[in-house]
Amino acid sequence: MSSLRLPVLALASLLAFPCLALAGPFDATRTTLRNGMQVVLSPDSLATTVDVALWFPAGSRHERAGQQGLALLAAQAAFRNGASDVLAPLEAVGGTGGLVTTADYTSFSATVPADAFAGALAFVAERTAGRTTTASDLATERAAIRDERARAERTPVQRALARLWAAAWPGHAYARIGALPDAGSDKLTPADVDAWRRTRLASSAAVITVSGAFEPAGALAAVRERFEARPRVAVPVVAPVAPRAPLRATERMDVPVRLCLVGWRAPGVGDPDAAALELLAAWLGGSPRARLGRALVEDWKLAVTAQAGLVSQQEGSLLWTLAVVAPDADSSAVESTLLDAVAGVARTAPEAFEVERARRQVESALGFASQTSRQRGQAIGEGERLVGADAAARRLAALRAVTGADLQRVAARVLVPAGRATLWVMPSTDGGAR
Amino acid sequence: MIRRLLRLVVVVSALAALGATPHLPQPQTRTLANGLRVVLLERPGAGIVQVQLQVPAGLSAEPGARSGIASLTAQLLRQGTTSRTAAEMAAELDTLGASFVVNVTRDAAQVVAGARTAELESVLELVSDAVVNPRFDDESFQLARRQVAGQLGQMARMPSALADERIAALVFGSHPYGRPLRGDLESLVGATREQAREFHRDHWRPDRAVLVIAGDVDPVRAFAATAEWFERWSGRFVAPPAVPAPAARSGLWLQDLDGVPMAEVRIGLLTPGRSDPAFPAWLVAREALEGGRLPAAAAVTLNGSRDAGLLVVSASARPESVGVVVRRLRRSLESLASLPASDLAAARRRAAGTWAFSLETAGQLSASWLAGDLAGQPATHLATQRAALAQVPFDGVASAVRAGGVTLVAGPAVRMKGRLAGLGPVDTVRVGGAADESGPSTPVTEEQRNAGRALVQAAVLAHGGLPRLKSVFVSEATHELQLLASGREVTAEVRTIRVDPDRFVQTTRILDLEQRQVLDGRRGWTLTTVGDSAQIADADSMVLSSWRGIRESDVVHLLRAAAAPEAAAFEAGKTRVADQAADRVEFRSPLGQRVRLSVDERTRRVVAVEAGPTPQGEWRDRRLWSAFVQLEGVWWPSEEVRELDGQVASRSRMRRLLVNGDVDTTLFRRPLVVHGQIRNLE
Repeated sequence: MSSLRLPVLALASLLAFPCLALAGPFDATRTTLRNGMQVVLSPDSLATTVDVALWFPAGSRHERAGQQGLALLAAQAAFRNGASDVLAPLEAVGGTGGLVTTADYTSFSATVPADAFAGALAFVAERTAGRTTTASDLATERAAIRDERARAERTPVQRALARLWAAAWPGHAYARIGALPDAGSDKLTPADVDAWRRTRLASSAAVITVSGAFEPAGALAAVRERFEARPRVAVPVVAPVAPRAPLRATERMDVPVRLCLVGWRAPGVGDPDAAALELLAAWLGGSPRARLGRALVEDWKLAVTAQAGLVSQQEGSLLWTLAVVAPDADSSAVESTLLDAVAGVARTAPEAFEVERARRQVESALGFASQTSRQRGQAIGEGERLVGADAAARRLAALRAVTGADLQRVAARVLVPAGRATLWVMPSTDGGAR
Repeated sequence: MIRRLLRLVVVVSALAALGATPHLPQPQTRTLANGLRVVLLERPGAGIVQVQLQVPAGLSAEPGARSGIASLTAQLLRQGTTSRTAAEMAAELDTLGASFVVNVTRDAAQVVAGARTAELESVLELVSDAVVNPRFDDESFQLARRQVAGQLGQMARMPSALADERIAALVFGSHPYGRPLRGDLESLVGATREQAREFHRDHWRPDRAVLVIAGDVDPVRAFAATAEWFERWSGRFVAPPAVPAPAARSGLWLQDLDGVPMAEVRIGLLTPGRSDPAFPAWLVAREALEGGRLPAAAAVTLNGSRDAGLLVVSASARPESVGVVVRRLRRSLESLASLPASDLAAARRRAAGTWAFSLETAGQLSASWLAGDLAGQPATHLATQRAALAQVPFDGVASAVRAGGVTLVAGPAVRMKGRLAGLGPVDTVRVGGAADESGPSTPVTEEQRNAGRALVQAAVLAHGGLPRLKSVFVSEATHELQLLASGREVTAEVRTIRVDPDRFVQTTRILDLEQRQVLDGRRGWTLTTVGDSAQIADADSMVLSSWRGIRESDVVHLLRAAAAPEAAAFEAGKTRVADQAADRVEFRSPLGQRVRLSVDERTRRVVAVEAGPTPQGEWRDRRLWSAFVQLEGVWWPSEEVRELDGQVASRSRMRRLLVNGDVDTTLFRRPLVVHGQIRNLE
């Protein structure tokens, strides 16, 4: 009977109350349920859709020795939950759903038109109270992962960046970032998967985010009904693993020209310098006219293009730089020019207008990538899971406060030889440009 | 029990969705003194703003002979202004952290720029400068043309993109909607800076333009900035001539793409345009197909332009399986004609839900609003579309589906041979000299055959005799070519080298743009160079076939072919060429193409050549030859006038001719092009 009352109440509340608007794209209210589950609500009265997502502390870095691939296997088994067409109930109303497993977390999401919130909530809830995994389920998921591996199409730059992660974080789970999905060892059993689902994919360990068009009070009540009675489960603690020293490597790939990639291990997304690092990457290579482009492309004609970026994880990040080497350029000149351009910022702080340019680029990109309910849900959920309360909004505020001196300081801290990995990608055959 | 209840909730929620209207931004509209309409769609809290300027300067505004000019003109807006170079413009956008793109559709051209809200005024100033004061100098023009050439080159390597382009051409027929968005290489070569300037002058005008500002903006500030930067824009829009609406077509077409591993299958249906109240029914139809009626791995797209739309179901298939795939796709489309009520209701639900996802971003809001505005819908149309999806009658879809659509199969014809049996008569998508399966409309008599053989024999003799014609194995001719389009002339130099048995090079040079088409037996490529930048594109079988046709189209090869017994020449009536009486003789070329020669009654020389009639038997393309010169015992025409549909399209005069001389064999070594630079020859 309680099952019947829940959805009807939720639906009634959706139809009865107007939505509330909040001032910023990542503004949200937080509630912790009795079992420890955190509820983050970010309503937007002008949205036409609503996104509901669960965020679990269940990434590949939480796997123990011999468990490689378990995070993805278990996430897929939980998400499918025995259904032949898992997304059918969402697609029937024009919505969609998704599963993300990274090194740090697993997330299930459902995004639907504004007045199908109850269906979206039911969808994600069903994924956390599912059936026991069978050997057949495991075989299905392994086949799906292998199929995904076979169909995966990655650009040479994506493959090169995956190799750079491996060179920068050897011995750590982050070394597998960007690699093809792993179906795991055949020794993994349904019992392993279920143990993972019981602990790491438990509701009590999750953050649930709701973003978009919904009525907060009704939504919170519906979330309580769905999840608050579920038991509190202790999440096993995994000790951080120290990576080995970064490497220098050379790879041959089917590329027409040489690629020079240099990356630095950097602090994680929750570090106080995270915003400065983000701007530093944009200042170095966020556009063709940034520092690397000017040095390698415009001034010295050593590269066809040069870029930089920052990919942040919970325990650490990778600040990467890439030069697509000009056909007649000397390799050592390319690498030394790149390193010199990077080292310059630690010697001399960028001018204020340069910092402002990088800030505009980052803020603009962030703004345009945070427009939909799903995008805002992703930003808020990832921030809450990896950093803590209000992380997405604090990230915006921190970006606005960064100065040239901050860039100089963080460059001196991070862009050091001890944290540097280098990867040269060479064409597998001469004349591959055809 | 729980699952049943959950399903119930989903269904109940979905039904509720059809009746509710989300809080969409209310459009706020102002019209400037110059006629520019400014529309504001507020989206507070986002921190960003998107500016989208739309003018009715898409394909439907292109003059018939200037395919691709809309795209080229739009590209030029990114190449600098009278006060900013392209580099300065790019640097300013970079400093602002702003994006700036141009886009051309069947009905409109758009400039789209986005940035943080704080940069609104600067972005508006930049957009205004680009639209009002484009540079249009030669350097900008060549750069824009090079970019379009690069895009065309990339597309030529993508069978899927080629098939998408061809199905639109087949469904829309001669309507401007059927043209390729970027034109083609031939039209690009013929395009001039003046044409682009003229197109801009006539169509990029404020009185028919709309500027939508969507995002986190203050209306007072936005309207003030718009007035400041756009009041200076002046001029009146010149409406293009009205064209009849496209008519629904059907049939099965084959496009040979030799050597590609997979075939592309497309079935296209002409739908009503957005201006038609019946259009939402096709959005429902698309959802019905996506909701489980399509075979696995098939897809459906719906493009709704103002006056007509195009629904395409598509799939990739192994060439040996195309017959099965065509049948499956046809069945899925046909199932729309008898959709059960429950399935129709489900499709309407899906359509309403999908609609909600099309209005989430500033860009989506702008684009959706502009599409409706272009179709003549009221400013508040976003708020009414959802209801239309729930109510629009579906009968029109059912009857259109019953009438059938156009089916296109693009892939390696050799591997698809026999796989299309039973699917209806197959037409071939023809380009240039591609094979043509049609024949003369009336049976040929023996008398005609005898007369035809005699005519060919006389023409062969008049041009030097068969031994002389057969002794020519290499020729190199350089012509000065005047291309005539819409009363304007463009002069080019064309060098054509023919090497028997199967090599051919044609180099066309206009200013600093050079296009070299090379046929080397079973392979070929187009090398396009502008200034010091190069693009190379491999030729597919269709293009190769076209080049083989050109290779065989000189007087030597034509007469050798006509004299062969298998050409089955026959007399095809009389005509007049340049006020002189002439006899016509028709034959089939070694490439399978129907060719018609006009033989001067007095001199017996060939004075006109026509090739490849339409399936309806119309000979639209005619070359008139005159001013014959003798070299190596053969009489060659030194002047040629080309007519398309009776209108002069080009004139050429031979400046140089070499016969059986040495040929630079490096021409047949494919260059390696790396980042726009020729690095080496293979």
